[in-house]
Amino acid sequence: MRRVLTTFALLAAITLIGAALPATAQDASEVTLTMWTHDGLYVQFFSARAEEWKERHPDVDFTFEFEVVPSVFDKVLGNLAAGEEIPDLLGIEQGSFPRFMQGGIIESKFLDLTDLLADDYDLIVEGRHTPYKYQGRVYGVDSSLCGVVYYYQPSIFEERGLSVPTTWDEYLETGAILAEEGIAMSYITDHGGMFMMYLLQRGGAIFDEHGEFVLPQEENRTIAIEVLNLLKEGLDSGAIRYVPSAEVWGPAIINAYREENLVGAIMPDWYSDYILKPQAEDMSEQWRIARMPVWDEGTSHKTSVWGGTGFAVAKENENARYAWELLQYTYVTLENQIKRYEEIAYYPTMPAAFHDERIVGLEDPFYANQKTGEVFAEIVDDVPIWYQSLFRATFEQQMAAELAVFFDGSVTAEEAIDNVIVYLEDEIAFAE
Amino acid sequence: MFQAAVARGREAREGGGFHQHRLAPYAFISPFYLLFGFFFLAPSLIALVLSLFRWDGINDPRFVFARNYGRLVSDKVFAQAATNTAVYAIASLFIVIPLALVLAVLLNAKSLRFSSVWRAMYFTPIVTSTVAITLVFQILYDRDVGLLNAPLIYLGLEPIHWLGDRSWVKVAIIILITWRSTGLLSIYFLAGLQSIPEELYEAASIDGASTLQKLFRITIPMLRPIILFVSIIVLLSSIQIFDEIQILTNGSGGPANASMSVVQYLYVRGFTRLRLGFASAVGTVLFATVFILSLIQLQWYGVFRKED
Repeated sequence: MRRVLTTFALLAAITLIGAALPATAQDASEVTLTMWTHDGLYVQFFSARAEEWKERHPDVDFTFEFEVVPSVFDKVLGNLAAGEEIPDLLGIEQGSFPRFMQGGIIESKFLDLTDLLADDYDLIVEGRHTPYKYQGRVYGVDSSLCGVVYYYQPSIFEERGLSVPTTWDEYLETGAILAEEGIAMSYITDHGGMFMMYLLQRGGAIFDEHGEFVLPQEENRTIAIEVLNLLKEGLDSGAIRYVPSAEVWGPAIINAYREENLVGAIMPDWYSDYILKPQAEDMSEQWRIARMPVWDEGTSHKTSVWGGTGFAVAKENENARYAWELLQYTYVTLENQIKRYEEIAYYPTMPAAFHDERIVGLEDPFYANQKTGEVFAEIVDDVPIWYQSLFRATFEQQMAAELAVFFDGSVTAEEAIDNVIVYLEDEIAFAE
Repeated sequence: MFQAAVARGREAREGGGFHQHRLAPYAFISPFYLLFGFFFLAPSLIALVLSLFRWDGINDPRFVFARNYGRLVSDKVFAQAATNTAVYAIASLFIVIPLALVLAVLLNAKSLRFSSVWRAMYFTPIVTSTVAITLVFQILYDRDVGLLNAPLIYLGLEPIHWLGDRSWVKVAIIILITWRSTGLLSIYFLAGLQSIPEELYEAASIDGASTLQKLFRITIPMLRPIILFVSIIVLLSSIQIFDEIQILTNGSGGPANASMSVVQYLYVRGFTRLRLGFASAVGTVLFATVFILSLIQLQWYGVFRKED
């Protein structure tokens, strides 16, 4: 018996020593980089770039664990609360960024990228930095331009001798003609983010660079009311259709496209490959892209923005340096911004990329070989700048509630905006 | 040696073993109380304390005394969520329970064929995933392609915005609750019905009682404990409704928060906005409400009445 125990003890000791020695020796050359995101396309793109990037470090044996994690932000915040490790790279969807602003989490747990970006900062449009700024510092690098355009079916216009509208007045006029046949130009829903998209194009703001609530300022309030009234005019004439928020991304819209009682949608660039192409594959070649209509006075932007995912680097992880290097290589180089468009169809955030033939010259078969990049090249220099706030989610939710009662005529535009202002001011006062 | 063992045994029974003998039952029931204390009582007390703080879950909490409760009282969205929840609870009590009772009476009919099959069918909504059920209902409620609107569209009528209209969205959720809960509750009622002695009905028949008289004079009084149990279950589940609404309305709380429940309100504040102290205050108010309503129900059904 004693012999058996001695043998086991020796084996255990050898195993422990054996495990410890190589680990010490390998720690310097073996690195595992982790990344969590909600979108599989990012995993695909980062994985491809990581294989190229690791050649820069021939002395390091990299393992990449990039994965799509359900409820990723809940999980990361849960891990932080429990003192558990978080991934080296995290894709933070801009709508969830305020959750990381709470109590300065973003500052204490993630790398400040402002100085790391250095001169590269100016290569990217400012409007794609601000959604990931906290107290003036950048904590994420965005994945897409998120510029808004008009997706439409040209046959509906051509059959009736109509042209694609370029201003909101034309849009409403053309819409009124089509509405007589029960056809709507586009749709709207009671979603605070969608309202913000229209507001930003008009030049309005909800929060300023300090996170202050600036919607109550007369200029912004007036713009917000103006935007609501434009949407209501479209709804009343039938040019714009109201769709419940639960149905916006589902089959109801696609069926309406197929039945040609809905011309298209005013949506950001990601709508194309994330929603339209996968769900309306059979409608290939029936679509085109145009710039979104502008306000007549010429005071509005050529486009707007909605959405985005900024990649952040965990500050306290031992591989933060490598994680930043990989992020920089993947997202902050002109060549890879172009590759990102070629491989996963997310438009570059660098205006310089729109001089490249691989962006503006690429013909998209879904859009009957239209060079869709040309449309985005026209708007990239005019992407609106907007700012985050801790109260962004509160604003969007309250705005959504007011939109629903505004669209059904229960309140006026003024009442809707003022109700939101009062609610937000109460919430801000409570949080102080 | 044997005698020594006997003596030790006697000693144990009469002396030191006395306490073991008295403590044994407590030891047997202790696992429940340990788990109850660890997973319910302690978190509840922590939540109560937390409701007096502002806390994001990561940084240090800050004491704010009753400020969370003050905001709760003045928040019109909370008032709306509470009203919506009350509507679900009332609908559940006054639609689901009578419907379940009627179904149980039908299932209990002697002339009913394949009764086991019917009972099994009524049980299926409970064993099916809430997510799967809700996703199917989301399709059923679709304005353009949903089954519920198909007859309206066929007849040339305007389809209903089941999930997009402030009034209809509540109806949509009540239909879902009704479909999901009625079957299970009818099984409870059926068990109660089958425990009523047949002699009571025979005696009533001899006395010339009508079917309705038998229902109100025998069936319902005899089902009193089941009705109490079912109504408490229904009240608790409808006040805590979350999954169905969250999925059905894509987490939005419906148009103008028309379908938002108190638990959904709590979830958004706690986990989307990371106001865990405020969410704890909501949870505390919810717990107190459920507790008081349950006491009222128990009182109403005479549970606390002393037998003469």
